[in-house]
Amino acid sequence: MGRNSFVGEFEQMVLLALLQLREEAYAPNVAGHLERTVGREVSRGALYSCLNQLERKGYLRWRLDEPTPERGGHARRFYKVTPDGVEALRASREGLLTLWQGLEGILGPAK
Amino acid sequence: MTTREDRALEPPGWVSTVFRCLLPCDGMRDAILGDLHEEFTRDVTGIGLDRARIRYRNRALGIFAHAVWDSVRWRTWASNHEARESGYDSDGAGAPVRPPRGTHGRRSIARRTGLAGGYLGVGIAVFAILGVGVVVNTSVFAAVDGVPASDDVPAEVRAALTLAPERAPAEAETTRTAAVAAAVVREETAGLPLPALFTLVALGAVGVVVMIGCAALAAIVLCRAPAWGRLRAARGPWPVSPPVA
Repeated sequence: MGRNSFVGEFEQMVLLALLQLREEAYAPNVAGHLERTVGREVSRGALYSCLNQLERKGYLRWRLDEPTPERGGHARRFYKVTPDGVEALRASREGLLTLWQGLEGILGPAK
Repeated sequence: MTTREDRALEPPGWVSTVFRCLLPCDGMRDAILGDLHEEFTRDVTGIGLDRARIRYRNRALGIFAHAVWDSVRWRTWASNHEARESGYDSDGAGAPVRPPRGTHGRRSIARRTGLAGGYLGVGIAVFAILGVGVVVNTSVFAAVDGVPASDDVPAEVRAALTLAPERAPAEAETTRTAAVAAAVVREETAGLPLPALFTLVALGAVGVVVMIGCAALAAIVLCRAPAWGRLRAARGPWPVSPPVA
């Protein structure tokens, strides 16, 4: 696994949210999903910066939908995680699980 | 035809103008504006028009700040793929517009942007713009400061401000001197005719506006420079966003 395979905390959360949202994975939905599930307020600027960075790393791709009047005549961008992105998530999960091993006495069992 | 009520329910127009200046002509800019508009429409029904406008403005400013900061770090928000990307089902299809990841060194950035001197040239341009703003601002306030004040300073006030060199000012004396100095300032501004006072305020406002304008121009140069560089390198038009129906 290359040096760039690991993703940061927020990048992980965004990629996981994109995987969970499936066909409805676009920026406002991602922000709302993270705010509801994780209870973390998501800055839109940080979100777009993260999406741009993930695209530059090759971890996601996007497609444009048809413009609609509800969006002021602007198109919507749907995102999809690439196989490289999935592989990076697996690598990060394995690394974190390895680090978490043996700490149940301190952190308690997972909920 | 949109009615007055319809226009009132639309988000502030200045945001799209700012984004069109800052962000590359790209599908991402279009999507950001659309996302903001969609969330604004949702918020209007949820929290009311005034709060929705405030939230829209705050989100837009946050996006603007991140875009400028990323541009400073040479990470523009131009897409890695053609703007006319259609469908992502065939992963890996289509050649990226920019080199693949792992080659974002400074030399590669200079080669890719095609700018003379690469990032150094843009940095010089940005500092030159900010320098012009600082010089103009300083000159304006120097002119304001040089406006002659009234000569009608009472003799006893002038005498109270002159301390005998052999005496070190005691605390009470320092306090009295400060109070007298404040009285002199009031006396000086009170002696100015009203038009002169307005002129001073207007000059000060001009200085502030010039400084803000130069800062905005520097931000635009920072954000758009890589796209301009690609235009120059490719000697052709940048791919435009798909036409809006």
